[in-house]
Amino acid sequence: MMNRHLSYIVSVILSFLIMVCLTILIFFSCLAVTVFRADFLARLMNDRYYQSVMDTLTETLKQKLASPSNLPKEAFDGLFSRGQMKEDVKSNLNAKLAGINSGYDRERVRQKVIERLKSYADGRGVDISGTNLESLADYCVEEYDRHIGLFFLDDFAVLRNRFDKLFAYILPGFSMLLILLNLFLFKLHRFKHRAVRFCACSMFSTALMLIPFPLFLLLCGAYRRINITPEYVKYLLVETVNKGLTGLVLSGIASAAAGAVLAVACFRMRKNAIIPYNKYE
Amino acid sequence: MSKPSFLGNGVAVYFYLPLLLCAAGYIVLMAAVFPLLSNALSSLGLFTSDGAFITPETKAIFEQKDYGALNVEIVYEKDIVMPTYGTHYARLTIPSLSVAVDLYYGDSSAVLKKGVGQYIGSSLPGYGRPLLVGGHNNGAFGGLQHVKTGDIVTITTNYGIYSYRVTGVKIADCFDKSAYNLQQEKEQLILYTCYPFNTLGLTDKRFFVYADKVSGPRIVSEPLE
Repeated sequence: MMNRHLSYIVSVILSFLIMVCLTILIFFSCLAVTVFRADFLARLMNDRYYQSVMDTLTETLKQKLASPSNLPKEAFDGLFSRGQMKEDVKSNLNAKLAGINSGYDRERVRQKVIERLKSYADGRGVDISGTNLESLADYCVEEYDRHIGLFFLDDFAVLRNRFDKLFAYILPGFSMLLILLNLFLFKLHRFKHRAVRFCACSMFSTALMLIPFPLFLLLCGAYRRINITPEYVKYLLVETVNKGLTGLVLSGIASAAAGAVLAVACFRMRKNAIIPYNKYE
Repeated sequence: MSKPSFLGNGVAVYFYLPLLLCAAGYIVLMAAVFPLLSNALSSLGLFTSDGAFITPETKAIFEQKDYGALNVEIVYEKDIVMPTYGTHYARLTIPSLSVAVDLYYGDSSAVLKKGVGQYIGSSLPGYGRPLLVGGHNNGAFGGLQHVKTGDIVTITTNYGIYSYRVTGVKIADCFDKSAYNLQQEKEQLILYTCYPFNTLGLTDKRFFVYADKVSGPRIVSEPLE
């Protein structure tokens, strides 16, 4: 009797450890396939993002440079080509994530700005002889650089590299631990359906660990009211959190489904174990 | 006949055991992440907005007026509507940095979500004493990182337009009271925000911008005879 109670207590402890391993594995795997995936940010940058960057950049140039340069605000419309900007954003993103300073040709952008300003002035008969085009182009490129880059990219790149290194140890380490714990649990019970029952409970408790808090955040949406400018940075951060939380909730649901399958398996195994036992009575 | 097993063979075990394990898991998790929680919650609180900020204590007394009517040398104190805590009473602009925000009297966290807040232990513009104004580093005062000596800061109130010229900047510890002097006998505008600029959440350092008054009406207590 004591052995039986002791085995149940040990099984509960093993269940708890299995739950911890599963939760950690699923959590890190979820992050690996969502937030810290190689092309995650690039995939988030859709047409809406690029349009927002272009609009914010143009508006900033108009507000900051139109008056000091004595140029009308319309001169700053269409200074940058959207297609080229998209390419520069992607190059810059890849460069930052690889730890390189800049991924696009600033001199090319600068020359294009000067050309377009001259073309605007010629087309509308605006006198730009008193305007220092070189200096103005430098300011424009500075703003361009500030807008196509993301202030959190450097920190994100460092975080992602650390995560990759950590995940390389976590995945095999905790998987091995999980297998050992399960082997011990199955070894502990003569009737294997009891071990399967504890595994099912671990899966359900993993689901309970993963689902409630992310689901609460997704539903109340506090992170969507974040006060960050410009708008396109807010969009990226909100979408990142969105994808991460959704991934966790879906993983939790999958864990609960797996637990349900194990519970059904446990019931069938128990039924199969009882029938032969009853035969000999 | 064998006794019922310790955990039972029914469906109930699939409810109470996962709940028990989950509760134990949350206890372990809270113990492990508790030191990080306070920082995370402060970050979340700083950067979430509750939409319209309307409470019985909050009101706006600032009205955009014709600038010509505000171009005077003196203003009588009796003609000024003094702001109370949480009142939007002015507009602060820094054209060179594209900063244009509402200035509130008081610097609560709710005020800082809407604009920038003046420490109520400092004076209003026009009294010839220092003003201390704070704002968030990635909100209203994000542009301060590009401030240069000589930039003009303008505070437009219902009773006058005040201009201040930036004379310097300083980075100091958040508890360093020597970073500003509210007892000095000159009207100095001191703007401050968290530093570094691109950090989410409260930081240990503050970025101070000092600006001396250039123009604006002087507030006098009684009408001159």
